[in-house]
Amino acid sequence: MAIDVTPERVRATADLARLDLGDDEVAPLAAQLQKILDHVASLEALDLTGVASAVSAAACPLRDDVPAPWPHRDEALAQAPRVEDGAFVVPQFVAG
Amino acid sequence: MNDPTALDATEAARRFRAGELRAVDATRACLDRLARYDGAVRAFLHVDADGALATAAALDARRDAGDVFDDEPLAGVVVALKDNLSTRAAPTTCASKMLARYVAPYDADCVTRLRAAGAVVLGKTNLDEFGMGSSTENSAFGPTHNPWDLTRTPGGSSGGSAAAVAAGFCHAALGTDTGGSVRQPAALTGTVGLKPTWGRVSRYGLVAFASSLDVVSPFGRSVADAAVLYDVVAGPDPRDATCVSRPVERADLSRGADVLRGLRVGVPREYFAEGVDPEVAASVRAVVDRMADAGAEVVELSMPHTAHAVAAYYVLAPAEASSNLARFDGVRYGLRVEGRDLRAMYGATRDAGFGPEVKRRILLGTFALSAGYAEAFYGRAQRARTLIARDFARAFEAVDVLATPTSPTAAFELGARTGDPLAMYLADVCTLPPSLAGVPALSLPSGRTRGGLPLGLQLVAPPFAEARLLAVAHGVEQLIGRLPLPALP
Repeated sequence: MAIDVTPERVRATADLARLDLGDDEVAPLAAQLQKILDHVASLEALDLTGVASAVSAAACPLRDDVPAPWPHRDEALAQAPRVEDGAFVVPQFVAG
Repeated sequence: MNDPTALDATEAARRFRAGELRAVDATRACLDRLARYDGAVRAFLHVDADGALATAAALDARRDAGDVFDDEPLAGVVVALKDNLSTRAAPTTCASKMLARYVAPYDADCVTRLRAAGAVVLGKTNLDEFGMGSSTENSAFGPTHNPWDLTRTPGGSSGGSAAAVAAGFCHAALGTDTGGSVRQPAALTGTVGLKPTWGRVSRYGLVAFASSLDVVSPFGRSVADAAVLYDVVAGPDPRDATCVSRPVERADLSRGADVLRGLRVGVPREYFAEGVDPEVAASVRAVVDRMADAGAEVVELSMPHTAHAVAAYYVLAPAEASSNLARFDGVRYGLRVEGRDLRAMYGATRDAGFGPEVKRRILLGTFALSAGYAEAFYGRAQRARTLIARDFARAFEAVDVLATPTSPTAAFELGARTGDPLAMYLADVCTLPPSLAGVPALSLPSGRTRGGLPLGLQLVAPPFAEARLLAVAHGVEQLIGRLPLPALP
């Protein structure tokens, strides 16, 4: 699939990734991503009829999901930028 | 040889156990060499001199009290850790502004195992940010320089660990290999790097880049060193659901080059295609000829999907990275840049915290997974990965190991490829296929260029055949000899 990597597409993808790019970052990224995706387009030459995906969840052994205490809670909280009453503090995210 | 920094890990451990080398003296010698030369090499991001000397002193005291260290094969060995392996005793920055002040609340499983095996942990080494790069130039804290030629890159992303071992700052080191991040720097620095089978070593405490590809991987100055470190870090861990429970087979290195007699060595022609430096190809061919002289049967073969590995990898690894790096949001750890609301805080934090290559890969991966494009990019790349894995399965029906170049070129000049991400990605052309197939692969020195730079031979084996891979590599090392240590100015 040929993709035209426009500045608008870079901004829309960056929004999905929660990356607020500076204006000076967008044009060079568009040019670089265009070159990389043009190379990736070479995969279209492959005949993938009947070929399954390489990674499947069935191949992954799962242990029982057993809750267990973890002794380093305070250390983990100590790495957070803002903590109050044993909870992570974030800016407002609902109106009102 | 009385300089403890010039020893390999196997010899340092032997001398410690024999009472010929005190751990404190070995550690001090490494610290002194580091103080003298790391201003130029810049292998380390964090040196824990006090912790290392305390560990060494405790080892010496136990030895003086009669301990024989039977279950501690790394007792007295000085090691370094790539700074994406979590440690309680030192920061874990991933060479990112995002984690510049982060200290993990736990040790990675491989770190716990190294310490339990008696290793003296000297510090944390430089890398391409979060493991994304092939030259260690994508570090937020500046590039590492190759000890063989300080104007050149040591490769990447584990360039700091490779340079530290090559420069004699430590006896051995751990890196992580996602698409070649241990094998390629091993080739470019004249060291030995082993990427085990995916799932063989626990990823607990390895800061995730591409979870279906990341493997904790050792560096040594010899194949025996890589084998000892592999024995220590490999094995089951219930904290990593993808870490397999099957027992670890220890490599038998006692046969030397005799192991090559009757061995079937596959030489896939696609690894000698356009883009591979003729000097690299000639060096690898010369080693294969020596293997044949020693009794190996050399089989020329084709792995037809090799050329698609770069395209598949640079969809799949960024896709996984875009998901894994979503956790860096300014809430629970790391950098936070305040914003007027939660969305603004996320966006500003991630723009300020990530470097250009990490942003590039997050965007690439996010795009490859986005609505309307996921099947055309991610789905297609996953199916191409199946074809690449089948190439290996088919090859191993006919041969015992594969022999290829590790890197298409010797160490390149710092800055030579930073403006062209695709050119940098193509540096991984020989190491990506084994990563995508999940099979074990090892790089060892094959010789040097006319200018004196190290070159690497990559050997590849079937899944979980690390014991065979190490024995064969050791046999080759016995045949062609090891490189001297580089002379630092």
